[in-house]
Amino acid sequence: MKKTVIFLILCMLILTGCWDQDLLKDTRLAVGVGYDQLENGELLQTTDIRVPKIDSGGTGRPAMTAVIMKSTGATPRQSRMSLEKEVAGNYAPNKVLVYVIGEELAKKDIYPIFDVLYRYPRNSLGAKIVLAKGRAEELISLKIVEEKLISDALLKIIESGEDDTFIPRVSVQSVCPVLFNAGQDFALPKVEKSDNDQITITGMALFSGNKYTGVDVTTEDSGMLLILNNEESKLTRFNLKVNPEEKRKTNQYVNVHIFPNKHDIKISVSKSNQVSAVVRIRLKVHVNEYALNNLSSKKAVESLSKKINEQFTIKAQEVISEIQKANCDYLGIGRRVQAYYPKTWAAMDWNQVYPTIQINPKVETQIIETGIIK
Amino acid sequence: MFKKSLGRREMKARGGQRSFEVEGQRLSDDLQENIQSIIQSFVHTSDLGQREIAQVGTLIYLESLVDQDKIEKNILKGLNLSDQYLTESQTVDHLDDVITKMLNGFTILLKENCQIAYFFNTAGYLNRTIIEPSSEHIIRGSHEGFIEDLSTNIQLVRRLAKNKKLVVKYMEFGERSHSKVAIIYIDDLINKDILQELEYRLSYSKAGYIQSPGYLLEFIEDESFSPFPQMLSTERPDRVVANLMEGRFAIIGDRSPIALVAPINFFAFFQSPDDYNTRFFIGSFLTLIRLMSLYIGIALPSLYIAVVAFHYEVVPYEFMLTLKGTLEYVPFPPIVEAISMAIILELISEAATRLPGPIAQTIGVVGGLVIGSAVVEANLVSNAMIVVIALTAIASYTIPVTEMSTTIRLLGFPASLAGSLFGFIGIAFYMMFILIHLCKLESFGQPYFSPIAPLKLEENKDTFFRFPIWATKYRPSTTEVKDIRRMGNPRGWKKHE
Repeated sequence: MKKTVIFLILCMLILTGCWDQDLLKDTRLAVGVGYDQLENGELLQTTDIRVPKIDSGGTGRPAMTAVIMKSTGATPRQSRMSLEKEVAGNYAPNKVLVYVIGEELAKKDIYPIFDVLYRYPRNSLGAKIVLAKGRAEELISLKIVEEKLISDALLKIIESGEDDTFIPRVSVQSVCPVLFNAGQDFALPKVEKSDNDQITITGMALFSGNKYTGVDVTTEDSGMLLILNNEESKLTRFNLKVNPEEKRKTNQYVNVHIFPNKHDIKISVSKSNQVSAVVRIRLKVHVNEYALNNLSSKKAVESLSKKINEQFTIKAQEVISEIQKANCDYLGIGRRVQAYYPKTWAAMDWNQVYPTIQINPKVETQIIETGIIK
Repeated sequence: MFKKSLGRREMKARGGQRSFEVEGQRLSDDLQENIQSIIQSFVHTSDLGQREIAQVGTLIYLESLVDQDKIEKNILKGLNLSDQYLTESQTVDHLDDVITKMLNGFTILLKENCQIAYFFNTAGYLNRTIIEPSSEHIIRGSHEGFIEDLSTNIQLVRRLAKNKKLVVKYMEFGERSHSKVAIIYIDDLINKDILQELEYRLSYSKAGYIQSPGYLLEFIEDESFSPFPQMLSTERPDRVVANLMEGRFAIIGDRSPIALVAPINFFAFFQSPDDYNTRFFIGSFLTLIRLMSLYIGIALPSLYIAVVAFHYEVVPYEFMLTLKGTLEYVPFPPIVEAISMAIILELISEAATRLPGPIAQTIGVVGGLVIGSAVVEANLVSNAMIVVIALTAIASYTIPVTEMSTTIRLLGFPASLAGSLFGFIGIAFYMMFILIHLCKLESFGQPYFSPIAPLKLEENKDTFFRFPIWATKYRPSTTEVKDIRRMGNPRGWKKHE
């Protein structure tokens, strides 16, 4: 008995070998993947693969380089399979940093691209998703941006955009529940290749259902949209034109740094089944830059506060009408209707109703800090 | 506490034991015959000294073990002074006893027509001085260490303990060598069951030659096939006394500077006398560091292997690229890398231990710097692996008891294997295996992993953190001490300020 047990344990240890090892040194790490629609209906996958430079083994800092590879297929998995025939090593998408989607492709339902990411367990769920203006292929083929390899640079650009509340934090994981939810739509960060081969964030690409609407919210207003959806990040700054009557342009503006501290969406349905919503936000404001006045008197602060409030309300109204036009229920009002008024929800076609409903933003502002000059 | 009743065991011991003892030969009336039988017992060895004293008898002794001065001063002078010098109490009448006495450095006086032999202690050994044990260096605290002389060692313990209830019991082991062993305990603290168990286990310890307490340790320890030491072997008297005061016993052998302390628990191997001579913040910090190094020592290489062979997603992107860069041109799988580096390290450390000081330093330089950098340059082992193995080694060396530190490094090998075969799951299972073993292990019937298993929160004041000494008012209950209270209220003055 004892001998059998020992024999079996030995078998288990010796005979397993290394069958399921996946050695890091044998992998070809894909770090950035771009998908585009080809004219024949197939997908074009552009992959940024991180490879150590030749002669960089042993002591010393290993240097990495980006190898861009292209493959096609009817589905993402098929294009990956055709890619695997080319790469020298095991193709490993477990540490992908960004998925870039071409504009053309996004205008169709994007779920088929993500299906494999949710099905196969070794995919990188933390990867960012961005929409590229034009084709993703062009963006990834840049190879080096700002002395950084393309995917690394793209990731850093997106992360800093997120921190500055320009774009929402979207990853493969976070977008999943929204993809399946009829009562809420999402937006992806939109980036573009500028003329001098740099990458810039241009704003948020609004989706309706799982399709790109073609409408973008620019970085000027995207911060407001994110605040309305309670998605503020580390730094939320706005430049507001509070004194249009001033001659000098510099004096027309105030730059504020805001700290949202209250967010609330209230839904009401009237007897005639009219849905309306009130989005209430309260903002604490730091004045960062205001060349006109040093704000030492209480009166000046109060009048500025009023002006800031007006500007914010206008901004909020603008951005709400923008998303309603695009039929992108970014604030998730449909989900709330579904939850609180299920009968109303069942009786209507939300996609038809949404652009027509009343959404009123209510902004409260309070200046709490005017800087260290007095 | 013990699984079987002691009575039954004792019967079994008497019945089932092969006796080594030979029927003792008594001394005869004839002086010459007695001398001849002693000479024959020692097989005509040349260092057998004899001295005839007129009208008294013959002194017989082993020249190499006695101090000639003592013979002159004590025996000859005493005999000259009066006949009353010889007392009946210092006599033996068996040849075997005579031999034993002589082997211990005694001088034997044989008289004509007398069936008994008188003995005198004339032992003259050379002892080294009391120095700090090189294996247990400390920064603050007593720098005394045991030496090879039993009575000196007992003196060191007694001087520290100053307790009238401190009991020293001599026992002799070895049919062919008669090694003297002292069992030390404090009578009003130690649990009698533990003592009984010890004596019972020792009753089986019959062998031709017992070289050191290390032999006894293997005879009486609970589980020989456990990697963990179940008795604390130390060369520090302060450590011994501190443990005696918690109701434990110590075994000290003659001609060996090692004291064995039991029943011991796992955490005692991570404590150093240093901890109690510094403020408790520092003591706690150091204890934590050591327990952390326990985990590093066992698991770090295996974690590294599991990461680069299975789960490289878990490390940050930039770090993963660095790892990939260092690994790219290494031809071996990580397990081979790890095991070979670990073996190289053990070779260096073993070589450095065996060689005299100045050469050992050369070994350190050659081993550490030359091999280390050359191996990486040749792409035999990755840079990261060198860092991992070096960290592991350093971590294991922080554990104050050498035995435990080697055990920890040894446990790292199967961990690496488990990590390379099954990844994190393998490591988790291996760790569970160790933990289960620790929970089950006993040292003289007392739980080894106490006070974690069985969990006694009250007694965890000296495991992960060292609480201030005044907070540990009670002795650990695992040794089932007779008097659980260690101290009164040393900070009582604070209330009356």
